[in-house]
Amino acid sequence: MTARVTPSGRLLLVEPQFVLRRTVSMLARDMGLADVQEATSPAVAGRLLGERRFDALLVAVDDDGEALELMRRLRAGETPHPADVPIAATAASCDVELALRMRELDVCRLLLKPFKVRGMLEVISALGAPEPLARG
Amino acid sequence: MLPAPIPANDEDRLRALRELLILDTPPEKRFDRIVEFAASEFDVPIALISLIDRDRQWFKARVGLDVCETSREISFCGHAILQPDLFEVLDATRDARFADNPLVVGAPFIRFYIGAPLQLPNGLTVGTLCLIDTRPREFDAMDHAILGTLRDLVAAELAGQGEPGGAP
Repeated sequence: MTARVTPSGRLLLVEPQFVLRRTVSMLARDMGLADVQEATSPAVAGRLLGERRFDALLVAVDDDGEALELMRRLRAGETPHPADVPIAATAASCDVELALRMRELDVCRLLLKPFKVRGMLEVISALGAPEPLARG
Repeated sequence: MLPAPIPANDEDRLRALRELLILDTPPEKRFDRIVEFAASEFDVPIALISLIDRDRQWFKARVGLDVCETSREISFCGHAILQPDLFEVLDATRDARFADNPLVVGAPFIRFYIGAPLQLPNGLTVGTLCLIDTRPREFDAMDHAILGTLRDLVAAELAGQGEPGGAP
C-alpha cells in the first residue's frame, strides 16, 4: 500500500476503549490524516458500514471473534463496500493462528499492545486509499 | 523557589471552580481513565488532574501519588494555570523557579513537569492535566498534541460535555 488516506478520506475506527478511540480520532482529524468515524464495537461498525461508505478501517480484534467476523464479511463482499477495502488491526497479542487469519483477511498492518496513540496515527497515515469513495 | 503566582482574575477563577461542585468529591472513572491512559501513553510515573483552590492544589484524579493535595504555593500547576498553553519544566533541578522546591528536593522528587491548563467554556482556568517524571524528559510536537487532546477530554468532562453513559 503506497497511497494514504487523504484528509477527505473517511476511516472507520473500531475501538472499545473511549480515551484511546477519542484521542486518536480527534488527532487524526486535526492532523488532516482522515475523517475518522468512531465505532465502539464490531456490531456498531457493522451498522455504520451499511449506512456510510469508508475508505479504510482500523479494527480492534476482540476475544469473542466479532471483529474477525466483521472483516470476513467485508472480504466476502457481504457489505456495500469493495471487498478490497484497506483494513488494519490492533490486538492484545498475536499467535500463529491469528497471524494466519490476518493474512487470509489481507490485513495490511497489525499493531500489538501496548498501543500508543502515536503508533495508531502512523497506521492511519500509512493506510492506503488511492481513491476516496463517493460519500454514502 | 518562586511561589505560584496568583492571577489577577483569581476570585473569578475560584468562583468558577466552586460552581463545578467537584472539590473534595470521590474519584470518578471518567477522570481516572484519562490520567491512567496518560501515564501509560507517556510512560510517566505520575499523572494528575489538579484543581487549584485558594490555598491548595487538590487532585481529582491521580496516578503515582499517595497524597490528595499539596499547598498551592509549592505547586507547579499553580504556575501552569497562568498561561493558556502547555507549561513545561524539562529539569526542575536546573530551573531557578523550582530547584529548591520541596517537591523537587523531596518526594516525589520532580524533575520533569508538563501541565496542560484546564479552561472552562467561560475562559477561566481551574487546574491542569499534568504529567511528572523523576528524570529529565523532552516532549516533541506529537507528545504536545496528544497531551493537548487528553486535556480537551478532561475539560469536556468538567464542562459536562463528556461521553454520555460512562463508556469504557
